[in-house]
Amino acid sequence: MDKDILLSMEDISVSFYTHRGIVKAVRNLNLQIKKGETLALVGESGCGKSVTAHTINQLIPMPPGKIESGKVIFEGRDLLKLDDKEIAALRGKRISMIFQEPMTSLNPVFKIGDQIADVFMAHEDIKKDEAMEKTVKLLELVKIPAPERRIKDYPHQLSGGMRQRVMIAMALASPEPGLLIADEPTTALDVTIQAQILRLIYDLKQDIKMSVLLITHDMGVVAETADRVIVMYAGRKMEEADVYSLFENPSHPYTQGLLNSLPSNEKYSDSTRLEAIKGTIPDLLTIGNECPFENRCPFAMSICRESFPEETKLDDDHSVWCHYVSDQVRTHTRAGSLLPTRGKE
Amino acid sequence: MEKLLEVKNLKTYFTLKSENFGVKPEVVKAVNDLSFEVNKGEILGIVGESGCGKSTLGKTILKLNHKSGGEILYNGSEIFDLSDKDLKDLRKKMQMVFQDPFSSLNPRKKVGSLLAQPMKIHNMGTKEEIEAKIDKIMEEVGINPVYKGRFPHQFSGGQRQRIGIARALMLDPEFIICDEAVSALDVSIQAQVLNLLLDLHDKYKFTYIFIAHDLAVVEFISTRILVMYLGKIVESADKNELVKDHLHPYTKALFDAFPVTDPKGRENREPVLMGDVPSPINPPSGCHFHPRCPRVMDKCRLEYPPLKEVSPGHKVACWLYE
Repeated sequence: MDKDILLSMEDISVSFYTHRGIVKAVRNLNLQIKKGETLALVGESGCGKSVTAHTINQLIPMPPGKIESGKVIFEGRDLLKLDDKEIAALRGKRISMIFQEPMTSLNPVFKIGDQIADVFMAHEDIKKDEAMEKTVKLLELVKIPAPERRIKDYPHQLSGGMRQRVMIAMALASPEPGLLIADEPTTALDVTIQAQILRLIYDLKQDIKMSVLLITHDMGVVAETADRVIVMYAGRKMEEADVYSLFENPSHPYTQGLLNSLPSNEKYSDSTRLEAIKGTIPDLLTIGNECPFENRCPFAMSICRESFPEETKLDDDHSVWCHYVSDQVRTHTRAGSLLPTRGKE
Repeated sequence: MEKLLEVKNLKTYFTLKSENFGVKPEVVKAVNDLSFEVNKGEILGIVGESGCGKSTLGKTILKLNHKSGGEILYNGSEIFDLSDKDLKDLRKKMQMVFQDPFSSLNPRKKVGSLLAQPMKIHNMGTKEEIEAKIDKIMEEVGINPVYKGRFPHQFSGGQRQRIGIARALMLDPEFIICDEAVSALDVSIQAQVLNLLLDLHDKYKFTYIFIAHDLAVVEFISTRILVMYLGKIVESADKNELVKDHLHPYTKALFDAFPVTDPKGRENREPVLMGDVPSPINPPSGCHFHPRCPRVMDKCRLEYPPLKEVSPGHKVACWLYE
């Protein structure tokens, strides 16, 4: 296996067995996270981005959840084959996670200093004093002012942004942080605070050589922080690219639609209507083998109703799963320049 | 332009319960001495972060909250002085669309009866007329009227928000307050609902107040924008003017903080605004923004700047422009 790759998911399918039927949350997903990179999983509600992240840490409730197929290879081991004790040893030490709502992830009855020191003490054989010293340093790293005083605060005494900083500190409270999974880390925060936290994650990643898996619905957050991006829709990977390439040349009709739906898009400076994607996401209970975007896609063809497309490589670091794009590439020899144009130009 | 609504020195204060006996209870000045006007047919966007008082303001205008001072003149008459009967008549003309389409619709009622309710409350129309109106409005917001026998949980979030809008339309209002009406929706659905609101605006010439925390959404839909911070208006201007030329340091910070969908040049972005939004219970002295302001002066710590017109229609409350 490639030495640069920290984690790789191969052919992952996850379903939930509910009383209404089988919800196919993630289907045949492959992804790789390189050492030191930020990979963003972006998509709307129900696209399977959080389920993918939870599969890594084995946080999928089973039942009703079931991992139907696939492997999660991390440092040569398949995480899905580990027992509870082995996975618990990895959680927080090599793979840590931060969530959307920091208040519900912190224990309200313990001081934040104690909570972070506990994490150090769980992973290393050190005394409380030493752990506290490390905690203060860590809080300094995540730019909490006056950390010596703040360690004595309870979570409710901190603002939302400060709490998220504490969560990030806690995720880093390990001798060897490997992968940080950030599940919508700024969604609950105000925009000026969001900018601070995004900047912090961006800076930290440069200082500490760790990888970040960023789960978000916000294309703006992706553009600000990610190195590589996977666009998901209804459990499938639709497009995967380097962040510059994705925003320069979004090629899947869904990615284009998503960017066109944003009111901040430059093209709307004097327009009064948005180019919305028509329709709604399909029901994951009844979905078959078709491309899930077929019913909303302006370029849908009959083959789209029959099978999910194979990968079409546009570039070394840009792939699309779309019959229409693959047709375009096949009929024109020069790939990349003849992709479906964005919107109605 | 004709004024529909005039707000003068409006104050809404909430007194918190005192935690200790004998200690003076704390007061949150959620809306602190605001004055502005809403013209007929315009879409006034109100933008600000959590705790800035934008939702309280919206509710106070509809008399869903008390007021602690000031005036709210709707077509020239003070809504807090109206008799119950007159207020009920006025309520037909003013409607609200809420953020959460999951909790603002009664889960035990079918959509048809949810939509019929406003007309029944106001004793309007016969049964047949109500049914005909429901069909017409459902068509208008893009939901097939055959679904009126369904319950809210059988619809997606976007469809439920359309039902919320349909409900506001049942009484042929002239003024609609949308409080974070698209915030809970996915972007592709949000775009559909924004288009719907604009289509309705074109067709019926409604006046909207559009309250949201998302600058991009407010910037897209509004014709004029108010920026709020801790209970105060810090800047107000026509949309195009504000986008081109935002003067208040807070407005500037808000525009800078908004994530741009272009990764180019992200390494050398402007430094972000530091610090947190202070608690509205004890806002900082002087200009409430001074502890976070990159251009703070001595005067800012002492005195709150007046909202001053710097060019026609463009007002800003900042000592830099005095």
